[in-house]
Amino acid sequence: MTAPRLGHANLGLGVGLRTVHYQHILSEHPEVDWFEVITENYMDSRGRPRYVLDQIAERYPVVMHGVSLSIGSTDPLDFEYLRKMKALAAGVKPGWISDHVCWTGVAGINTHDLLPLPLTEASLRHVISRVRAVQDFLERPFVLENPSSYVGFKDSTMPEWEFISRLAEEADCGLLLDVNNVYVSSVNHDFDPFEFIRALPAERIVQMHLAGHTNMGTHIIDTHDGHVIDPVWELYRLAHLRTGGVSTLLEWDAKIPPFEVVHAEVLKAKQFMSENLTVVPAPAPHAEPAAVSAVPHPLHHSMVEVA
Amino acid sequence: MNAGPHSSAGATADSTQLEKMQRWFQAVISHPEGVAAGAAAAEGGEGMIEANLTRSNALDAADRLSVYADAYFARLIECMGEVFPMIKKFLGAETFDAFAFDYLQAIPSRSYTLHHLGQQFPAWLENSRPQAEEEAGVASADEGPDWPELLVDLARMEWIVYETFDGPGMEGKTALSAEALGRLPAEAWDKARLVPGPALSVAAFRFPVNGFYTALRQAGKDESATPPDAEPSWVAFNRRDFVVHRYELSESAHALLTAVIQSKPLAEALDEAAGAWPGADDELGQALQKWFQDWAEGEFFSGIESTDPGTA
Repeated sequence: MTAPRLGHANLGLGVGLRTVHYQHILSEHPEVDWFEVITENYMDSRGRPRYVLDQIAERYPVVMHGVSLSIGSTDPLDFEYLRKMKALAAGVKPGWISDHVCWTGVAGINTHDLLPLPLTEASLRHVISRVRAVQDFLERPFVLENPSSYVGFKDSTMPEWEFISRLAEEADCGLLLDVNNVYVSSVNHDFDPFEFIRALPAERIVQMHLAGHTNMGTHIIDTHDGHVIDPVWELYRLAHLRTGGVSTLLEWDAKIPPFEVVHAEVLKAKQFMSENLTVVPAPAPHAEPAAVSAVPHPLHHSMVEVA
Repeated sequence: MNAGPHSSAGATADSTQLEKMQRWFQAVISHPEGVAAGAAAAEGGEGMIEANLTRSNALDAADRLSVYADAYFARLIECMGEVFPMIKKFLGAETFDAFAFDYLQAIPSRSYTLHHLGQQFPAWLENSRPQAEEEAGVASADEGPDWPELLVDLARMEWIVYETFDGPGMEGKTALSAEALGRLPAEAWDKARLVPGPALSVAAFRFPVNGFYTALRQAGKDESATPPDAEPSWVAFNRRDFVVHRYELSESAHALLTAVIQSKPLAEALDEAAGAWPGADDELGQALQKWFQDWAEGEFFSGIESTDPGTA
């Protein structure tokens, strides 16, 4: 039997580390349970970003979250990238390392977006074999997140929850359940988000993500630029009930408010940890005011300090 | 690596099909004129969008695919603006975005990190500026014939600042002090070599771009700064306490620091400084004293080493 969370601790309620909060965190040492860092922002850093990360890793639990592994790409795995990831992990000692069930580019190009895969047996086999190779190289279980997606493939033969459940079981990896992404994709693909969460192997869920999004009226875009909406909290409540509680992290990547606001947002999760589950149907997308334009969350990027 | 109960021939065929799909998808969402033009230019034509992709209750397949296409350039152009904020301020957002849009089509990202995205922008500006000017409609008689070179200089400066910020530095290490440097006897100069700090670099420009960079930084949010006339300039870059500092140099000081960075012995570096010095020798002596004082305070050097293998 698989140990809950693959044996990883429940770190509590954490916040995604962002450049604009560096100074506050280093000077105020806020009582946040843990931080998640964007792997690629620190892999090559020999300046302030890495210095800040080392300071934070001395005081708080840290988890590494990547955006460029491109586990679903048909390009060969980039073992130089993986070597740098492994070296960073040796220095930072993260609780675990994660990325997304997606591909980011092909033919050597990186679109820096989390692109969707056709949900087929062939894709599944392809990703499983690559997850195994990554885990062998890193010498540790990997954790993979369900991304938001905006289009589906006619070739797909299974729902996303079946794809990632079988991936986790057959590759023997962990899952990072992004409940906001479940909600976003449920609206974009017209499925029931509760069914998604009920179908997952709960014992493999190592971590959860929460975030805000932008409702375009006809679809939702994963912008990470605001508060978590109530239907997403209801999904979180279900996921919490199913998992018994796992490390939970709030992502806020655009229009980032002061640290206290971001931290307060993730602390709201405590209200949804009740064992008394009340299933509330997700509202139609028009229940929120529609935005005119939005871009999926910008992949985080360090800011330069110059005199 | 076990890929499961599947024949290798079948796996290869599946992989080829997935690769074909990915190449098609990427080509369509990164086409500069949008998904319809992207699909029309790709194998199978525009009909492949509906053939490959599903519609939702609210959107057809092309509109859904456009979410990715709309984001592709927008995200990367935004990132370019963060790497080159002064060029963006100088040109204005609309013109800068047009340059970045052209650049990203010519040189798409091939790195796992966005930190490399602007690496080739200065060289791309240098090599393609006539076309870039024409397409973006930014060149005019008022801006003068040298204006594109100023843009290239500014791009070079911003990229050096960007690289210096997150590259190796002297933080946590002891820099060579002016006193330690002063204790080095003149007879040792032939074989002594100053060791540059890992963040130290120098650059020569066609314009006084350092002052222009500062003026742009000091200009208000929606303001620019008056472009300077062409005049050679030299700048040193270093990092202290994780902050990038810029130092204007004379041609002679630039020659000296260039020689130091090239690991030439101190005596040879001083000769190169003298070769570029326009004044009297005794004036150079005074200038050297001041330069080394300033550079020691700026933590330019990590130490002195001997080029003589017999000397420790």
